[in-house]
Amino acid sequence: MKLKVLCLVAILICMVTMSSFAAPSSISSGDYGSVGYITVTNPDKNYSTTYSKSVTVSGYAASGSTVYVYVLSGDAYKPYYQNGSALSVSVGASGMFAIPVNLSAGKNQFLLRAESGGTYQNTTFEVNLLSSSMFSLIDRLKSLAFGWK
Amino acid sequence: MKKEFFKTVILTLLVISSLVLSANIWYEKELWSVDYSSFVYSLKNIFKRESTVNFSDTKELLEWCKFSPEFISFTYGSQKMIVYDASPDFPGAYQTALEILSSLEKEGEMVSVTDEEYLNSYKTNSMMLKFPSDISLSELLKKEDAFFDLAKEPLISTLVVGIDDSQTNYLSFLDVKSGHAYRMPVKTNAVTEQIRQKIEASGQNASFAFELNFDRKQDEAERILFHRFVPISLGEHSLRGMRAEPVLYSSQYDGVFKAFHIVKNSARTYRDKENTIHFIENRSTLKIREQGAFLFEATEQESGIVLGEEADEVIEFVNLLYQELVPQSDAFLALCDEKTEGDQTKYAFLYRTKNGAMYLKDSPAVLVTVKNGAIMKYEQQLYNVTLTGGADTTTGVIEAYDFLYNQPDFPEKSKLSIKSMQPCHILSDGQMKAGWACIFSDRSHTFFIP
Repeated sequence: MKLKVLCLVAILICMVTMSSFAAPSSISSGDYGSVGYITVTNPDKNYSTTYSKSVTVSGYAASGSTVYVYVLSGDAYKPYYQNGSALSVSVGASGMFAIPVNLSAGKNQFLLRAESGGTYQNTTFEVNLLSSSMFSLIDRLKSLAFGWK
Repeated sequence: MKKEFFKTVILTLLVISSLVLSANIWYEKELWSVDYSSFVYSLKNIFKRESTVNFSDTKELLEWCKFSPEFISFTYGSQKMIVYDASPDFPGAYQTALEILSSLEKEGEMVSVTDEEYLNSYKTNSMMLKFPSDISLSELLKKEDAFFDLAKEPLISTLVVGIDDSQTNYLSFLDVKSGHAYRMPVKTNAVTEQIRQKIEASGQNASFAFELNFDRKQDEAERILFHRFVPISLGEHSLRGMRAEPVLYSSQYDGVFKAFHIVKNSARTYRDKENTIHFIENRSTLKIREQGAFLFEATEQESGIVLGEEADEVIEFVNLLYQELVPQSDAFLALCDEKTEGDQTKYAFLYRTKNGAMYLKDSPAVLVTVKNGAIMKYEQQLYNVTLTGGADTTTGVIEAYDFLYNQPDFPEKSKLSIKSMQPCHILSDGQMKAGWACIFSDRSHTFFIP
């Protein structure tokens, strides 16, 4: 009996989690959808590097749409979870949005999906988080370079 | 003999009372209250009351207003926090900022830097102060006892105290006169540690508009762009609680009569249908409204209140009068708009405290019209503003920005950019609410409750 109840609770939790993130659970890398639904302003390049452990992803999307964050896992993009919940934001009248996203060391390949009423656009970008040890190494090299001068 | 004695006493009393009444008129005190014909006798009416205003206090307050930042930002690693002047955390953050400023010592010369280098200083570990108007850097540093001897006299609206990758402390600023950005090495103690402590306590993650590229046109859509140093802070904002009570007509208004040279006893007086009391002199009128507001109007230049052409003189007058009228208030009056039309200039003021500003829904707190150096019209909504121990909350910047898009004047505003977005209190129909004040690039402003 206990096992049955536990199973039911587990199923319910799964259903609630899935229904709160209405966008697909997986997006293939070639799927871009419609055009003109989302513009990413930060990062402003498809590929960027940083020493910061987080980045604020921002831009403009169609008013009334929802912007979802995905991360590349294997050969498909999966919803990006931060503090236990999938990252998404509702877009208001101005279309402006900003989402702080934590980065993992190395390559972080993201996909943003703006979706409203069955229409969507996906856009991808990559942020490379350099380790602070590399940062201090560059620093040391810099000081050595100045020393040689 | 007895009859003579009584006559003498009565005559003496009459002579004394005539002297008292003359003294009363001399000192412009009220003998009879408006619409009430009985004689109100009080010692207070005979002897001129000493002014409670301390001129040096007002000067100090105005100086505080000039040098106190609108917001302070702290950046440490990948985190940035913004503390607005209305935040309950502002006094603590300002104290930290002052400690850092007063510990500064010049360690090298001011050198010109590129715009990119200047913007980078906002991204490294640093503290940034944004002032409500342009101020002299020398004056600011001198005020905080920082040891500086500047060859140039830069005028700044923002100041960054930071530490770069090579662990060098520096000051970074843009001289608004020349448009050049500068950097100057400084000596200080424990800037990084103080900033780190502030950041860790906050858990905030904000950005400036330029970091998110909201200061540049990105697509074809019509948008109001932001000035590059407007903070895009996410999540709700907490504001220190504030209360405002209207000051109704009472003896507290004596200072108004004095300031505008209206002799209460000789002025023609009547009360209109809206319960406004009108005091009419030959060339000027004073109206005192039932809800706690007054309006002075001079019909001729000679009856205007002569000040001078400088805005500072108007600011001083407005604050001295307010302190005389409501000395118990936590607020002072800050200039929020100045418009010159022909030979007259209109100055609008708002109530500001050391912990945030208060806008009135329908009008400025004070509106002054100055013509040829004299006040010709002066209108004030008189409130006693007090800071409370409570807190109010308002939306984040993006939600406030969304609200602007639903306003009827949006198409007109889309040609402008947002120079400043600041959380504030708004008094609407007697209710105090937390909202946002937005200043556009043409200096026009709007405030709203999203």
